[in-house]
Amino acid sequence: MSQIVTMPQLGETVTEGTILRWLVKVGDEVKEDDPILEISTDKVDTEVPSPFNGTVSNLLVEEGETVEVGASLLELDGDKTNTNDTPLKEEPKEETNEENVQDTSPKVAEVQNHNISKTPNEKQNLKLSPVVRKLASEHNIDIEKVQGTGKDGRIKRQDIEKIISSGQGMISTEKIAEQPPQEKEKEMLTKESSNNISRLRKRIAENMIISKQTSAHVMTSIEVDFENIEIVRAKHKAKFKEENGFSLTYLPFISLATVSALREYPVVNSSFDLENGLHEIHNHINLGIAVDLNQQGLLVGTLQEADSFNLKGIARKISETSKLLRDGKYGLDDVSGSTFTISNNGSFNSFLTSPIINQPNVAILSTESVKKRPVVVQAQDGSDSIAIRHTGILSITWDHRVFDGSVALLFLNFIKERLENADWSQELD
Amino acid sequence: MQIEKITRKGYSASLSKDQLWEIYKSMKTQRLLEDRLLKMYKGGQLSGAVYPGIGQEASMAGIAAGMNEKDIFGGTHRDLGVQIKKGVTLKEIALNFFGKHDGPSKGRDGNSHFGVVDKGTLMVVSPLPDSAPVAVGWALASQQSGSGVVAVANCGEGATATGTWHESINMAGVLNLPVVFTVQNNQFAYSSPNETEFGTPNVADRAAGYGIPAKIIDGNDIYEVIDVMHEACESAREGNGPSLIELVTFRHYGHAGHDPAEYVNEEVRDFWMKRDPIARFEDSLVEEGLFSTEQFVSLAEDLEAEIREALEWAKTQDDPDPINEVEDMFADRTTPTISNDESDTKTMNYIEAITNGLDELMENDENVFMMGEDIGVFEGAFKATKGLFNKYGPFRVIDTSISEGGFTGAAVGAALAGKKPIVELQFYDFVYPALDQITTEAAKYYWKAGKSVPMVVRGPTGAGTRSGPFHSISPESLLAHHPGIRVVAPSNPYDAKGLLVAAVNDPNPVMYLEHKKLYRKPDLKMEVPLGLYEVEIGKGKVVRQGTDITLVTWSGMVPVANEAAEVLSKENISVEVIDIRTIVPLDEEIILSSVEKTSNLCILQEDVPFSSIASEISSVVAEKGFWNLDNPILKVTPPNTHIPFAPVLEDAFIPSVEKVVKALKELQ
Ligand SMILES: Cc1ncc(C[n+]2csc(CCOP(=O)(O)OP(=O)(O)O)c2C)c(N)n1
Ligand SMILES: [Mg+2]
Repeated sequence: MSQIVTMPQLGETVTEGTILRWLVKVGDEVKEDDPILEISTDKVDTEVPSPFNGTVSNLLVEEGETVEVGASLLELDGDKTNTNDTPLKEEPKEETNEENVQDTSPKVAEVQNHNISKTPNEKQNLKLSPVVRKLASEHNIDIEKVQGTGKDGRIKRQDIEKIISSGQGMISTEKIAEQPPQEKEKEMLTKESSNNISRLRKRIAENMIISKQTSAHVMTSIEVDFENIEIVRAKHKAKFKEENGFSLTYLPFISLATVSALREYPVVNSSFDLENGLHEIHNHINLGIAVDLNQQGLLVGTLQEADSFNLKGIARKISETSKLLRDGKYGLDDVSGSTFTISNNGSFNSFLTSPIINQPNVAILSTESVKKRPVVVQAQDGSDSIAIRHTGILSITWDHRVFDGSVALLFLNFIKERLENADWSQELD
Repeated sequence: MQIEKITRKGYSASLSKDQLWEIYKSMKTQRLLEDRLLKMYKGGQLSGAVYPGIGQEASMAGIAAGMNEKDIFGGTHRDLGVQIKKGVTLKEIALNFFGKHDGPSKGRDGNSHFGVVDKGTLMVVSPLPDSAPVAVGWALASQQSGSGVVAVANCGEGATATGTWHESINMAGVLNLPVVFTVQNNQFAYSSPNETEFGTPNVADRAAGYGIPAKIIDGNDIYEVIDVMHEACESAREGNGPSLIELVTFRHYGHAGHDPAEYVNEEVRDFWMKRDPIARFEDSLVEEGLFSTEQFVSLAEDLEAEIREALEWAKTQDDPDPINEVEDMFADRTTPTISNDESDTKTMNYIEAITNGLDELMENDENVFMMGEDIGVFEGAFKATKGLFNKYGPFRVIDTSISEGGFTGAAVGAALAGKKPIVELQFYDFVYPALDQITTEAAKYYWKAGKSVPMVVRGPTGAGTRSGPFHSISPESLLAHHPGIRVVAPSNPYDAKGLLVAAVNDPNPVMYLEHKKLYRKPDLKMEVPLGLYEVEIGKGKVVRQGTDITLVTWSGMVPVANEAAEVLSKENISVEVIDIRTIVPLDEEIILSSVEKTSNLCILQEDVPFSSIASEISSVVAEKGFWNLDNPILKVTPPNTHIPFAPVLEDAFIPSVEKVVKALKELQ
């Protein structure tokens, strides 16, 4: 009896994956759960375990090939005795007994689907009529470079024809041949080095562009006084490091304040699908933390159910997740499902950053460096004086399609208020 | 069993021994053939149906025996016996039952639903009694040409309840046509007895209502059937007009092979079995000393073998090839296109061009004639036949009764008999009662019986004259949906005459749609050539060149399209207007090549939008011109409602220049 192993769906938004490496060859015996190949999706690189016992009779895709979820990958001959018919990934049913559910967020709205009306010019530019598609492909025209003059900027047949008759915008191979030899060589050289884009880089690049094309990015920032936190931090720093093996940074404080703010402003913790007219307010908070992979790329680690952590817990989780990501030992859960993201630019000494939203989130918070700065403080008697205090900027890039500036600033101010006034020492004592 | 005797008295008394043997043989053939077919049907050897006329053999053979060889018979599903006596062979019948390629209906219809026109039997169709008006039309042609042919319109007593039968017999009576209406009253219409079909005691009682003579006869007495039939046919042939014969008879079996006829009570059955037509005929032949029982038995053996052989042979014959289905929808034109140097012209409006065309067509060919309500002395509701009655007289410009189904069906019969009839519908809204004849008979004749039907149905269409919901239809999609008919809709005087001439010369049924708003539209006057000329059916025309948008339209909407194009040209939008002129066959080429140029398509029509010509054109372009499109295809049409009377409502209904302009501006 032969069995087919298919491309798994590793994450809700994943539609395809690339076969990195076969770990088996035709004739190999494999047991259920033995790793059989490595695949790469836009979420994760991972090994695929065999769902069955059997002998490999056919490899149906080549290394390097990208195939859709559900595509046949490999054929196994053999018995089905050990296979369990329940899906491997199925999680134990959640307890629905209300008393057992720790409801930490009474205000969090349930998943809501709001119908939103489409604005006419949204994405209109990307809708190409049949004749425009045909002419563009026949004449090798880069459609991105075409200025549409139709309704709402639509690219009309005439727009393409103008380009055809002018000769611009074409990806012409003849042109290269006409160039002087050195020029050509130079081009070849640059081409060679630019061809080596890593898969990770490519994924980042694609995601960044898609995000820019999808959301209406606006950046807003606010100044925060970290003095209180600094005092608590200074007091517990040494002991914390000793007990936990990693330093207590500002990030856990900001993360915790952010989680509270997300609970207060659920619209910031949402996804927005204009095309299908759906706005989904998430009822769980999965906090994404951007992790720099030693300048070799960037991944967003996910703290699933981040609202269940206290300060120490979140600090540990951040530290662990970052390490998993840097070591390349993470699983799918560690990198998927974030509902809001923090980019910790302060750790690289930033002053102000305008990050790109991590889709399908609707906002991203950037922490900036905390430094001693002179500030005007008011004494109890009302007199002003200049004091040296730890301050830093928090900036947020948000999607203006989904909400407006007021929400963004209320959200930021909520975080600021928390950071400045919460009784943080209680969390650490 | 005591059998009632029959004796020869009238015409039958003059028949020779051989003639009587032929008649007997035909009756026996029918009985044995239908008996075998029933057995095969019940044994699962035959698909379709068998409608046995066993028990009615004397009526069947007698009707045919009373007719002349060139007389035409229009009958129903029950009439295999008549067809056999008219000369249709066992092999032809067998081929039809097996749906074979060489059968009379080429596999397109089965069992007894066929005719062999060359042997004098009209195509049998299911809707009852649809060949009656066709027979009437054949008689009309005979009357016009003096050919002496008599038409027989036969059906069962149940079918006489239809409007079709009424219109046929009424028309024949009014026009004094050489038709004999025979009704085989076999006591049942499927399961229904006479009482449920008509209110008079007899079918024949109704002849008074048509002003024609009638007789009720014993349909199981072969001699009486022959005598009365012969007399009626000769009387009609002599110009004495139609008559009605009710042949009282009985079918031994159910309506069809599947029907056990439990609704027939035993007394009735016994009564009729004593009057079995074949037994009575045999008795009399023996009594007269003409033939012996041994001869009957031996004939039966021979016929049995012949029948089996024909059926076995037919099974092995070629099946039809689905490939030919589309090709066989229309007859090819064999006459050359009429040429005209068009040097001699006269300024005409739209209706003058039509009248002029009708006149020249009738003058040119005496087979062309017209039928319609009030078209003769009164010269038509819109005066389209002005001067024609005076010029061509009542036999070629025929005022008909209000019988759209009747005279449209008659046109089919006349066309089959070699005429070129032009039917005028007073308003095209009244095409509905004629649709049965158009789609059942006209549209299917060539496809099913291989006989072309050159006829034209013309009349005013369209709204805009405050004529309300029943005088304003745009019937193009209604008509075009039926395969086998052509539909043309001219928009100006030149095309009106040219398309009319082409329509009359086309060997197929052509629906010629005139737009009443155009009839006397003053700015539509133009130079129209004198003498016959043709505008090719199936060819559209670019009536205004343009580069940005293709606007496809026809008939009354062409002037609207032109005006809209003019308005838009002032805003630098260049519209190409195409008048398709013919709806079926559609000139796809002219539309597709224009869309290739403009990449934008709008279809403008006065007909309502759902399931319409606009939808069809849109589908054609989406299928075949998709890659040339730069915008979704637009339709400008009335709403999907009926056509209202109140001026404000009607004006809102009909697409206006403003609406077209607004719609086309969307295509940017
Ligand atoms: C217009 C129409 N309606 C219904 C039918 C279905 N139909 C076929 S035969 C038949 C009975 C016909 O009875 P009659 O006219 O007495 O003829 P018979 O079958 O008795 O010869 C009916 C109802 C039909 N063919 N045509
Ligand atoms: Mg009957």
